Amino acid sequence: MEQYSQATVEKEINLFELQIDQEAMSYLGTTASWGKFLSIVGFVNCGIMVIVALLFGKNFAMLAAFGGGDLLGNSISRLGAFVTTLFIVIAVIWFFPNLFLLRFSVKMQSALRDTDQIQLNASLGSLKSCFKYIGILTIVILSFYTISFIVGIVAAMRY
Amino acid sequence: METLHQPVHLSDNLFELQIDQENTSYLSEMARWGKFLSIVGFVLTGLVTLALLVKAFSADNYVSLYTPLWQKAMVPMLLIAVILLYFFPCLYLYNFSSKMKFALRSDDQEYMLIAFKNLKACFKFVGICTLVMISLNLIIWIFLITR
Repeated sequence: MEQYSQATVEKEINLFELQIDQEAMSYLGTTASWGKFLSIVGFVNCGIMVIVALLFGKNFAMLAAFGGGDLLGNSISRLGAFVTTLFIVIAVIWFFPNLFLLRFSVKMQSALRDTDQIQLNASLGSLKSCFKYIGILTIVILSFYTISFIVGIVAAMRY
Repeated sequence: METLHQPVHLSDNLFELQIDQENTSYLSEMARWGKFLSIVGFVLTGLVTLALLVKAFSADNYVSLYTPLWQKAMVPMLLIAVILLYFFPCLYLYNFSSKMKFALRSDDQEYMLIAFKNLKACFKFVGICTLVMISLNLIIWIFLITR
């Protein structure tokens, strides 16, 4: 039994040549602590954005109340609702990469502390999710820019 | 060849953490997205540099002989700061991605270390920039409140 398990361990080790040695551990540890800091700052920014959105909504609602339900008041309240929604949407979009980053950092720190392979895998998976999320977001934003550029050119050529 | 690998196996007892199949897929996907993000970043840096050049070589209607130097220098300085602050994390990210891709393809421990070092440098750079931004914000707020 003992020999059998030894053999399997040896076989597994032969498959994977790359190791997380002391140097890599120190790099990953530093990355994790900066990542934790950045994710916490990101969460605070999300919170501030939500607060600003709600304040905007309140101020626009107060402005709209001056109009007493006329056309201007209606448009102001609609603008206020738009700005509030926009800010909250941005805050929600910005929330998720920070969540992934926080998960990466926390799991990486515990993986390095306990030399836990499962935590390490989960941590790197979270960092991958963070990169993927930001990458897809970048693609979406760039395509928005491209579309608006094309629409702008077409609109300019029509006049 | 087999004996050459023996010292590596000796160190297995010391370091339990491995780059296994699951990790490899995560790291290679990370490298791909990182490369894309860094290239987008390089392009944006290039666009800002272009803006700087256009600003430098265009006639400015708002500048006269009596404009103080700090007013003339403000926009170029800001643009240069943006370029520098944006270029270096992108460079580190690009280094991470290319080195990690190579390390995973050829099982090279040295390159993997360089890749992780660059990832660390990227996070550290962005983190220190964030710290500086936050402290500048605080200073400006304190200045505005106490004025």
